[in-house]
Amino acid sequence: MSNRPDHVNQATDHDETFEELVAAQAVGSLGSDDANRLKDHVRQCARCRQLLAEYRSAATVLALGLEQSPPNVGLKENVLAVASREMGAPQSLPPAPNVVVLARQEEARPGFFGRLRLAYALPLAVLFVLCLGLAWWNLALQEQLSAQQTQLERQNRFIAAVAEGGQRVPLVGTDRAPDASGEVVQPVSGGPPLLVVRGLPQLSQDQVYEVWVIAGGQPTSAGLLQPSDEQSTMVRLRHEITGADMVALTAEPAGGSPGPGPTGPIYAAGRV
Amino acid sequence: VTTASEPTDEQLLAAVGRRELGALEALYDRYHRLALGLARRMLGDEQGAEDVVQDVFLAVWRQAHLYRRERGAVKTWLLAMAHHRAIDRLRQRANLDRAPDPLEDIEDHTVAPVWEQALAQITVEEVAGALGSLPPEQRETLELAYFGGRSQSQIAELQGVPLGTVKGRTRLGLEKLRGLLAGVRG
Repeated sequence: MSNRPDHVNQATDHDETFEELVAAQAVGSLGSDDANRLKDHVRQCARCRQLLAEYRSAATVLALGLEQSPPNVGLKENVLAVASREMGAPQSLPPAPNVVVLARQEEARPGFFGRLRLAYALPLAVLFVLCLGLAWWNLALQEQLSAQQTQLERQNRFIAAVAEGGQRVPLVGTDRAPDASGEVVQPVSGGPPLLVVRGLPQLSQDQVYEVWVIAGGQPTSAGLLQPSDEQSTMVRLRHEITGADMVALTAEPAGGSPGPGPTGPIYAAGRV
Repeated sequence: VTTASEPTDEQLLAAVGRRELGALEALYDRYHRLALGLARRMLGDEQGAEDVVQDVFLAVWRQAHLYRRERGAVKTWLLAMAHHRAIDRLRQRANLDRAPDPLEDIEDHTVAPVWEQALAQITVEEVAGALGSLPPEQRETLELAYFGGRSQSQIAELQGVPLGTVKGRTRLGLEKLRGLLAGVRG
């Protein structure tokens, strides 16, 4: 800001002007020049660092006053699909620090009762690890069940949309995916279209399929897609196909196309 | 609001750091509606808002290890990321530069954990009461800045007041909201 007082240039001396800059920064309304100047000051001023963190918490109250959006399941599927794709090999179970602590405590207590407890320590540790394993297994089963329920729910929605006579767009694989086929259904009752696709090849770790709805030559991203190992993959799109000319799937960098339109090759497409 | 049997935000974030997808889903379920509401209010379009929220949760997945408790609650961190990304988009639309974050590479500051408790415990009624008690000009100033991504100079021009007045209103408004949180933390 050009009409800033001169003393703001002195980055190290705390005064109320900096507190005003801190407040402006907390709500995101500070220009680049002042933000750089504040950054220099904040490095050396504990009071302003504390104040900035507290003002940010205070600014969060503004967001808490907003009405919350309805749940967005389609968006969650996209996020989890990309995250799942980026996930490496399954992590091993974390060590159980309690077992170690227990063993150390027993070592520090000699005597009959101490030895008796020490005798129990190993079986208890084994039992603890077993319980941990069972809990992990239970969690994994719950996640699997939840994923199957989500898939079943999507299939039911798709069948319902077809049954009620929704607009259907068949997709055909290109030369890059000759085995791919699929269909998009736009429910008559409104809501997002559903896409089911099968036969898409697996992409590399740093790629993801992106769905595009093209109208008047202008592509709009309708979501990301991560084919599963199962026969078909079903997702809810973020953009309606009503009035569009074409639906296409392209391969894009993980996280989606960096630009407003597709950057990778087309794997499947269909005319609306 | 979490119950005794539910994992805390920090526990979920730690699990995300261990690449547990279920923890990311739980965090998404807990906060995506809040983040989506904020991004939608700021950007005014659904597609842009969804893109922001997707960016935020993928950033959580990729950078959970960057979270510092000392910088505030997980809820604040998530909403701040959504806010920054929406601000970036607003500034891109207006061809303005992104302002740097003064705390971006500073690790040694501390904020008492009670702020996290306050944000977790605050009720909708308390938020509504606090926002309603702000003088209209302070509330408008804060909303133009926080939701609209307007610079202090732009707000001064919009409101037809000197720049110093805008700075003062911003600070006074935030002080009142900070007082609300201080009251909640008891």
